[in-house]
Amino acid sequence: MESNDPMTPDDPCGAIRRDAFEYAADPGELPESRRREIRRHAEACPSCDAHLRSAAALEAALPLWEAPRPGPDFCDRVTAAAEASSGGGPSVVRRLLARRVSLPLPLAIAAGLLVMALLALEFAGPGRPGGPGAGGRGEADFVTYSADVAAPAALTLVSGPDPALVGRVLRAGSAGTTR
Amino acid sequence: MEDLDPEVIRKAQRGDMDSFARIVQYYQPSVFSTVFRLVGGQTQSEIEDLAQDLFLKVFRALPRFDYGRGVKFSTWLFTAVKNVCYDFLRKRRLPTEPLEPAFGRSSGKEAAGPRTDVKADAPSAKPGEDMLSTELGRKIGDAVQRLPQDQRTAFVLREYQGLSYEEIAEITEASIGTVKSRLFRAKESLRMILSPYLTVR
Repeated sequence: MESNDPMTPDDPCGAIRRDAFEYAADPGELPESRRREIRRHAEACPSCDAHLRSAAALEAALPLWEAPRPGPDFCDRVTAAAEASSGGGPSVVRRLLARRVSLPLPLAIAAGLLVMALLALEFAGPGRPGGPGAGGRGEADFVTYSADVAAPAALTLVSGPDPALVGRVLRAGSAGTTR
Repeated sequence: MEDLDPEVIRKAQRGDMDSFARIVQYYQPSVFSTVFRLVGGQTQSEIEDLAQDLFLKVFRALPRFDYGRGVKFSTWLFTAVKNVCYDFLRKRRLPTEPLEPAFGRSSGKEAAGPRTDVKADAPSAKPGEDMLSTELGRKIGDAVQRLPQDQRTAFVLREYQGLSYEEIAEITEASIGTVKSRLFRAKESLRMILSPYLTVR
């Protein structure tokens, strides 16, 4: 280090500057005797006086750097994801299922039939394995779809949802409803 | 930083989800702001994702937290915050622009420093005190992101979380002397970078 390094102990101005931030930020951290020394030195040393004022200005400005706050549902999302990852509490899937059961029975039956009909159409249609167009371009699409989306989702159901995925889904859901 | 009631932590360690929710509720403002300040330049949703991942890691590691070792829970938690942020930065390979040494250089170097280009848009415009404060706050954030990682961590934990030197030393696995030195260097660098925008009285 060069001679103007404020950390150099035999440099009185350096020693003053080393204490400048503590002097400015938290007077309690410096003993009164040291504070007196610093004041006395600064009265006779315009350079250190300017340094102390500059340090004080920085300390005063630091609170201006504000951080954003987490969204109002952050805690709920984290807790839900943790619950899902633990496997002990009710999983998101189970809660969704529970919500469906609470539908009126006729509506639930109708919805179930509709889903089954749509699934039958989906798997029997062209371009899907087992359907008339199997083996064509549609199959490649399905494989891609299967690898990217369906497989992880299936794994999730078996081994417990991936917490990060659950978090993202929940956040996307809450964004859709609350924002 | 005041720790949460140890009984709440112990219940969470035994799998009580309400207690875990209390932990998240209690620490989320400080964890969130620390993540924001340590990684920098991310969107709100990215910070939320990171903070959520962090809390999930904490949740899984909770049974391993041992009060018997005499470590405060907040120290343990902020060690996890630091580790998650460092991992994130390493994976992202964010360019950390090396900072000009704050001292040991001629003053001419400082005068020709990189901040002169933004000098004109700050104090001269004077569009209102709030706007200037916001702008200065943003400049402080930018300047902090230019600090070396270890200095930034010490600075953020001390200035914005009010952690003691001892806690920061434990979190960063450094001596108290090293922590003090990093803090001093961080502030000295910030003072020099931001001097054109600071109101010196």
